[in-house]
Amino acid sequence: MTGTIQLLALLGDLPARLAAGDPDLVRPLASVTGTLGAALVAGAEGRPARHDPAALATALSVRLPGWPVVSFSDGRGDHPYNTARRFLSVDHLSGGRSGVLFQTGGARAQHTAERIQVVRALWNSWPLDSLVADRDTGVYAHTDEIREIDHQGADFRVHGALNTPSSIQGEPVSLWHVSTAEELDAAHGLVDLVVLDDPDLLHRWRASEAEARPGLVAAGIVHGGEAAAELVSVSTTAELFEAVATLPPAPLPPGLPAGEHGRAAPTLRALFGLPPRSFDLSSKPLAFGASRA
Amino acid sequence: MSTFHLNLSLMTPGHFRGAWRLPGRDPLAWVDVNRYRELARIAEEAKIHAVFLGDSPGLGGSIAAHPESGLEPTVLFADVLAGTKHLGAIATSSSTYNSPYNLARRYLALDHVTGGRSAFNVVTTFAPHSAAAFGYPTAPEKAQRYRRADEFARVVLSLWDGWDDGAVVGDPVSGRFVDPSRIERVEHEGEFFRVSGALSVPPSPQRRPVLVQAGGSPGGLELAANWADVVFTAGQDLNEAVAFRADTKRRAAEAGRDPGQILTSLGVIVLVADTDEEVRRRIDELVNTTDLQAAATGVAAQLGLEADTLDPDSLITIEALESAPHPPASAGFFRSTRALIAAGPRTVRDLVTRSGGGAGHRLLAGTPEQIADNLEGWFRAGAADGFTIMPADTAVDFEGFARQVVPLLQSRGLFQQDYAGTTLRENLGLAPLVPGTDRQRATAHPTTNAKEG
Repeated sequence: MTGTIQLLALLGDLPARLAAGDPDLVRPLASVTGTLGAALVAGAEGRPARHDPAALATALSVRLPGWPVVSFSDGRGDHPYNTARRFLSVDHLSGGRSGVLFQTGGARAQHTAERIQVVRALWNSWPLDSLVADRDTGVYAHTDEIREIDHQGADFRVHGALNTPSSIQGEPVSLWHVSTAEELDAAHGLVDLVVLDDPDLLHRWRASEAEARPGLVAAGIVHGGEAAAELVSVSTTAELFEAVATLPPAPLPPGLPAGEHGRAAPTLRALFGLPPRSFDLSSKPLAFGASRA
Repeated sequence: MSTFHLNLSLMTPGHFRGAWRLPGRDPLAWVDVNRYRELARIAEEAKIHAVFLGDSPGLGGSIAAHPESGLEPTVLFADVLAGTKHLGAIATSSSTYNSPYNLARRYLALDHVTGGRSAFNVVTTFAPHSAAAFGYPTAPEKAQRYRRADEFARVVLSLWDGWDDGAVVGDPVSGRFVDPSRIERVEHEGEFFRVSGALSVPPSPQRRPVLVQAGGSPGGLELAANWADVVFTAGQDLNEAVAFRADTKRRAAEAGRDPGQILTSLGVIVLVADTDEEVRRRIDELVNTTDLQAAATGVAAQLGLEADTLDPDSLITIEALESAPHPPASAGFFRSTRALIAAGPRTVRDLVTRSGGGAGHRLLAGTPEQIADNLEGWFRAGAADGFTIMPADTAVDFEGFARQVVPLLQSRGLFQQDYAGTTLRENLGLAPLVPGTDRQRATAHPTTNAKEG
């Protein structure tokens, strides 16, 4: 047991079987809900046919409530406003236990970086605690906490605040699978975690002393214990259960009866020790002006 | 057909958006998935055909006063339908702010994970804040939005119909998984989209999601006639709803379709209470949660009138309506409201009351018997093939309709005692799809000419 959080990328027919509620898979996984330092990764490339990752992530979080689920997103042809809204909705359904693993998908590093920038800005544009619901005054939301993201970049122009408020963990954990030095540099200050499968990039990550350096997820490379998580692929039931048997325990929420562990499974941000809503929009304009009386 | 379909809207806090202000309501029910799961179970117990959610991307300033769209509907429905076996779900997405390949793939995934119980309600989205979210200074003009919607529907239907029956071979001995010769690629080049390829997923248990359309402009009517299985519409006046249904079926026949295969679903805002006195009390209570000045601005925009000319007690006459300075924001709501005002001038307050908050649909408030009588009357007069019930206050009227009105409709033989099949298409009484038919129509049908929205 490494103590490092494990991200289990489901390949083969595992996603479809889990989504369909196959009891041979669901029961053993459900019995350890919330007790392990692990998340399932949905929508990785694989055969047979791939389903839409958000639909798959939703199905997984319904079948296995309390299990964190990370969705792949390659963004091909998808406007970042739609991407942001769908994955933040998944985060609400999963009780704040979701993440999004951005893929470059053949696009330029700067294009992907801009896409992530827009998605994260949108996730942070409308804080849940702006919803005050004051029955006497009829004020539902303090609109002076809602920011216009006012994004005008090379590839996207997006003005709105998102019309889904932030979740109980703030926003999904953001990960980027980077394959080049340019991508790694662009990931600084942009995502919570980078996924690396290249030892040269690991050196570059180590050498970076920037405060904004993202946490490390090691995919099949040897690391000196500095990775926050490891990404491992599992294609068969045997591989899945073998991986599950060696998973580290999740941090125990204080003062909780043993049997309640699963119900109070930590959010994915808490599992990684990440702050809620770390993306600063304070320089952006208010979406609807200052409205508070 | 002797029975009608019933869809039930999950819009929370209700069609009166200010209903969250009433005592005991959870103001955050609108983003509480557990509450939606509970509502879906109540709907399924009542044998409701489908739950429904409208949607529009972009956040508008009305959030200061009440929620609008929140969680993305395809994601939400993948979750809530997992707790049911027969209930369908109608999700709404914009053809203006999506690309057809992604949307076709996402809805087909939803249709697979629900076992063939999903529907795609295509809307073209006019809100300025939606346009801004996607980088446009204003929404594209209406005729353009509907040309795009038509092309969008063609591409989506062609993609959904790409795999023939028997395309999946799955022969473990030969290792042959799929017979590629039985997958028809889409090769589309049009005004808005270039799509080359096929979906990576075979057809669902109902082959594809049911297609619903919800716009009443000329472009919307043509879109419905060509492609919709179900047309969701507003109707304030019985005769006008009868004429709309007949016209919808006539247009479908002219487009070469069987008019029996296009259903109208009439939106009705329902408020259920045990006595006449309680009905009146609850209407007053809900109208009092509404900001009538803001509603007046909304009504003005719906009808194409100058926003600053209306206050809650201004009388709107048919003459004012016919000389409105702007095009109405919504042709369907204009049509239904016009029919109401044709019978005599109305105040904004009155329109807001009759349309459950001002959005244009008819408010049907009464005891369970009165509501059942009214729906029976409209159905027997030929006003609709079914109804999309929109609770005035979802915390009360969703369950009130499902548990008090539905049993009366069932005992009168007007509504199903049980689901007819396993897919939404079967349950709505729509004929099975013949592989290749959608594709043939979507690629062969003459391109719509630009029409005045």
